[in-house]
Amino acid sequence: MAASGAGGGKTYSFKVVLLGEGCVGKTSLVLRYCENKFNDKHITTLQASFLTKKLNITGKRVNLAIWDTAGQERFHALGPIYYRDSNGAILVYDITDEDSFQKVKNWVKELRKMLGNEICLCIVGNKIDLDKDRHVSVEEAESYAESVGAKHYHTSAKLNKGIEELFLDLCKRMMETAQAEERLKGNGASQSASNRRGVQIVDDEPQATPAGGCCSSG
Amino acid sequence: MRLRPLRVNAGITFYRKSILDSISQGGGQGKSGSSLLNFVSDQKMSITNQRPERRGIHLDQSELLCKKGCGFYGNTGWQGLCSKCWREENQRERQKQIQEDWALAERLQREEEAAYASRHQKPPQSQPAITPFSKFEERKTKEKSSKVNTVTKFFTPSTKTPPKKDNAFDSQSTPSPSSSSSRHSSADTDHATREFIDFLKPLKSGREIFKQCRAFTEGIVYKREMGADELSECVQDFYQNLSDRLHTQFKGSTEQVETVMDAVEKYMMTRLYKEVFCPETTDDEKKDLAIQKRIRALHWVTIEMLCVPVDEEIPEASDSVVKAITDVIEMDSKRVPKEKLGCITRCSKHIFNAIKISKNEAASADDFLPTLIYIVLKANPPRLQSNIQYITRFCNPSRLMTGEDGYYFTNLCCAVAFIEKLDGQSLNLSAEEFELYMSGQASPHWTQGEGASSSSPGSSALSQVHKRLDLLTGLGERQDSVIEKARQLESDLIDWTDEVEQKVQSVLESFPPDLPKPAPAATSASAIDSENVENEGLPPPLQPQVFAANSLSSQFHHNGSDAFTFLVVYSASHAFEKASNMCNTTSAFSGNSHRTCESIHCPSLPVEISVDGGWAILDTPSQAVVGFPLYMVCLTVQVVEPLTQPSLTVVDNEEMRSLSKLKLECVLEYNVPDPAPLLIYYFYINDNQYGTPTSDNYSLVERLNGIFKCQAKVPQLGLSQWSEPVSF
Repeated sequence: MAASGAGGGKTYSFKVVLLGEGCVGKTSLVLRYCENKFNDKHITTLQASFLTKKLNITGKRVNLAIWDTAGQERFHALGPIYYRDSNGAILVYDITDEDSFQKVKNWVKELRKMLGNEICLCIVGNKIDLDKDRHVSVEEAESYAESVGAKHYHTSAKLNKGIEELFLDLCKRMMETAQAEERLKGNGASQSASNRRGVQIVDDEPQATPAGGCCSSG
Repeated sequence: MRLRPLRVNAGITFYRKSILDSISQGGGQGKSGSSLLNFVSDQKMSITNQRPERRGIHLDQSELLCKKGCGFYGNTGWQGLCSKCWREENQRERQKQIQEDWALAERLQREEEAAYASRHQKPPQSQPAITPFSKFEERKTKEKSSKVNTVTKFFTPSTKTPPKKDNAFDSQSTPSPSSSSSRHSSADTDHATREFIDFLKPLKSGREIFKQCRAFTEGIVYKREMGADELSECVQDFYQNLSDRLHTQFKGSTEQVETVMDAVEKYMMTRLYKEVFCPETTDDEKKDLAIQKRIRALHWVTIEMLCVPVDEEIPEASDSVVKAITDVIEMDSKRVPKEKLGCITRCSKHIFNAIKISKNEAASADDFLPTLIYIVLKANPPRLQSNIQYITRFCNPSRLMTGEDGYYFTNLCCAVAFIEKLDGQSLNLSAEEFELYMSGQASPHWTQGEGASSSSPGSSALSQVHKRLDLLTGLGERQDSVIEKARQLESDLIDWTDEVEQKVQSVLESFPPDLPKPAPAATSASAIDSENVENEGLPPPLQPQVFAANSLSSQFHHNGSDAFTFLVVYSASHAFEKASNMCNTTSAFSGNSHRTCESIHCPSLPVEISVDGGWAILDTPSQAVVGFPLYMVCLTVQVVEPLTQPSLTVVDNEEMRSLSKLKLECVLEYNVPDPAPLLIYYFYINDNQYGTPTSDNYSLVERLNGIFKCQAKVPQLGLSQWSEPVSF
């Protein structure tokens, strides 16, 4: 969801879901990004399931809310509750685990079906520090990502590789999507691109709201 | 001729008052059944009686008319007024509101001026007059001072204003006593209004915001018939519009707008709570009950099944678990969506704490969701679905979608969805196991009880088992003592029957049976159990009967449910015969040579016994039956010997001498009802048969001297009697 800020400078608020099988390193990825720590016993945050990050991209402020999801198979059906209204999805797999890549494919299919093209997808091959045990080939992964309109990234939370780029890139893409959406609405006055329940109300009449009190009396 | 009353039969008959009643009604249930029938037929009567008068819903003409009495019809939607009167009335209220708004505006204006005048005065925290609003002030100070740029920030300015302000509040919080105060008279809503006004006071656009919010809130109150989704749409649109305007018209920063929107939400939802929480138009309540039942049925789910990474053996962790449970339960007590979300967030934080203590690392969603599910199962929070729906419908949307609160709320929704769909597979159980646990036929605690004995759920299960064992032991002891007492009772009973037997014997000895007992029925009937005499409703006592060689037959009625004992004492030389419908004879014992007693338990309906001569004494039950008096009657029954001993007379008179014959005449009593079998007389002289056997009671024989005897015989009945010898 994008929200307008005061003055000319806009503040974007984005919701990003982290999807992927358990043990592929979702949590490590996000902890590395937000706290710059890996496997650290001194992590200050109590939890790594909901993290926020404030960014400044080309003069625009961005508030990123990163939602971790439970990766266990038995919670798979709960996915839609998590990714509803999200602007971006990071689909993580373990390059040493073919199954986890298969899971990502399932997620992509589901997301495209439920949310269409409004959502920015990132497919992330994590644990590139274990490249010698690689089971998912780079070519296969990248060509698949391209075929579904997603971007592919190689990361290592352990070595802190490719993570900053991943999030920065995603933010830019989400901003583009948000801007495109605003342009599509073609109304400069309505700065709040509310996609709440798909209902868009453009209301310039300030007295329209209290009229609710009169409706029943008339 | 000698009449010898050979035996005295004493019969005791007892009746129970309730017996015949219960027989006639076919048992205890018959009574209620028939009374129900009566009731039903009564109802039918009353319905048919009413039918001609009124049919369907009856409304008085006056109830339909406008309350103002203008003669037009009124409408409940308009509080019983007609359209015209309603408009007038409503207009007046709105006029009043507008005036009040003006008053508020003026007041705000004045205060603003005063604030400017006293700008460099001390901040208001030091002023005692604003203590009731300290909450707001607290929040205010917490917020960063960054907002000063756009919003004129000022605090309650001078010491003179507070009393004035309070008056203004009163008029504000109850703007129109006729409509609002009746609905929102609770202290909570008043307090919310007051707080809201207080919050808005420092804002430049405060008056405008308040006006809009109040108008909208009151409008909603009249839209009761609106569906929950429509209402939600309305409220959400209002939030959207207001926040847009705050951004554009009042040039608020995002943080400021958020703060204002929070206050707006708090004010509006506090006032609307009753109308929009779990409304009747939805099936929220049904869903609440369903999930509650579901969670209750899942009580057996263990921490291991859900793979919850929390070690409840660590006191701090289990402490956090308890706190989390408390928080999620507390959610229901809050009115404002934001506060409800606050409870969920606090609950989540406690969960994270518990995970951190157990795992010593930051919790990921993989850890968090199972734990939250576990907490929800443990807590079974009240009105869970209603609360979720309420938050979804009426919470500020931005908070719900991107904020931290929103994340935890989403997880709660996930937990509920998971619980609803939970099956064996998601707990790593087979479908059969899951079914067994769900139906309560098996419990994982039983099999895993020993392994998990040290953990708190296990030990609590174990302590429960111990408790039950104790209970069982106690019950066993009590049963033993009951058995002991029952034995005591049994031996008492036997002693008592022996005693009775002895008494009977002694009575028999002191009153020899040869004594004639021609006492009339009235005097011989005596109540043995005098305390329980209650004649009303009892069948008439058995009348004394004379039995001629037949059997004594008597009928008893007694209640089938209480077995009782009676004794039958009868002569050993006679047959005692039970009628076919008499039931089991438990013990038979013989007294001395000429009596036999039988103790009979008879849990049956009419009982018939037959005594062929002798004495029949029916005993009372060993224990008094409370409420059912026993009526006992002593009966003297004379039984005549069927064939008395004949007396032989040798008739020797002029006529006989002239014929040189003797007439042997045999006199006896033959007490057999008609048609009596043939009675044959035999005559003997010196033990030799003399003359032919005859059915006449005399015989003419040759005159001889000797010792005469006669014998009366009824071959068919096997009766035979000899006379005393007579010498001639």
